[in-house]
Amino acid sequence: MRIILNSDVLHTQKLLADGLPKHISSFCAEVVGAGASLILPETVKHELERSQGEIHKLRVIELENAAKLLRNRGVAVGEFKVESAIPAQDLVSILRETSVPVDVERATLEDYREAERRASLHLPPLSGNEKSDEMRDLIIWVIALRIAKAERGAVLISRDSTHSGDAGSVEADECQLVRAKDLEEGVEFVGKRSPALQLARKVFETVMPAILEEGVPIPRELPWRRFSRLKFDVGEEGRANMTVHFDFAAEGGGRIEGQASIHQDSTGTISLHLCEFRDQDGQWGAGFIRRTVEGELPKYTRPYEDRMTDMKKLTEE
Amino acid sequence: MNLRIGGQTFINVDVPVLWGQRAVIQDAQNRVSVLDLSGEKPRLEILSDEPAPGVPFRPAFGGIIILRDDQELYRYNPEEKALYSIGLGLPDLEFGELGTRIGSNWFEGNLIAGAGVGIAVEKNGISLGAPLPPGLARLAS
Repeated sequence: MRIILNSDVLHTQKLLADGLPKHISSFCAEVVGAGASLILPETVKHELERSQGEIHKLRVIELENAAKLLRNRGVAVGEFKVESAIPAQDLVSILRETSVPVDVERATLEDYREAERRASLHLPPLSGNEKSDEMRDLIIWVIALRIAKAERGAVLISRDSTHSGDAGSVEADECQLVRAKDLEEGVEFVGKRSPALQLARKVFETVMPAILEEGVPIPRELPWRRFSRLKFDVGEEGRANMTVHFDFAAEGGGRIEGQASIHQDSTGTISLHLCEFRDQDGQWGAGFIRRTVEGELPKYTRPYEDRMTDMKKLTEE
Repeated sequence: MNLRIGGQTFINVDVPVLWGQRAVIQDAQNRVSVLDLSGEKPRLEILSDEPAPGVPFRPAFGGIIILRDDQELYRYNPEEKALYSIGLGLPDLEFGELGTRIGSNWFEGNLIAGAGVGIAVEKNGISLGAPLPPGLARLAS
């Protein structure tokens, strides 16, 4: 599977020669693990190289100023090559160092013409409410559709509203272009489990026996990609509470979907609230279940008191 | 408060680093805490490298993403000691052993004394040794 990246999910103010930000290197490792590859539209490559070039320029000026200052103070500073002290590495090479396959996709003349047509006529993925006709976004969109069509499926990771908005939904579905808003969601579409999905599953499994007891036809083998709108928080003991939307193929056929709120009340007791329950025919049962369950949700952080102790020491200084 | 964070020394400052409207501090074990000062009451969002109780978040590559009303605010990576703005429009903030990176700027070896705020990071600028913004003074005290 090919993953097309927009510049907004790769953007960093860090000089990439100093190392990729952790979330980008972790993403690359997951892509490698999934046997997928990355595509950078050339416009994305140019955008990122422009911002990296500016950061590089700053670093060079800093180094030159430092050398000048030392020399002015009578400290001997030998001749040095700025380029070897601060190498200007290109983004693609840095990404490839993580072992992830990366291709740069150049827009074709047809891509440009198609982007121009959409911009002029305010066609999808434009919603018609844009303040400007951003050609770069449209070129990336057209490239993504072309690749998805040719490869019978691709993932576009972009936070841009043009790429992720409803106006492009029909066309994206027709071309089997799946859209993700961040790197974590992107890897879920190539069969990997994002950190949020892994925690969601652990929490959900804790209360699964109780849900089954209530007769809800959820599958006994939970599918991975059927959780969305994930939100967590921790209590004072550091246990992970969660709200999540689920949409499963029901045990025995059909679908079952709903919203789950799973919360550690006190030691040994979990509050479980399932609502907006629907199957393929409409509301399922009473539409909600509210009950308590004996058990403990997985720990995600250290207890609050332990963490506060260090913080208090610091603020008392 | 007297302490050393990300290669800078802060002496007698109320808030060592103010990232937008968030006070950021680091303890002796280099663990980072973030206190949101934008509301009526200060609110801990990150406590010692981990999400504070009751704060909505999502686990992410290398760390967590802090949420508010389902919007992603920022990403915190405890290994890098780095805060990456998602919805706050602020420069990145990263504490290293020798210095602090703010956006594409690197600060190293500064001593900031007797200021309300040691380093104030805003959308369009960075100040060293700034007074506490009026609305935040009450909260930070």
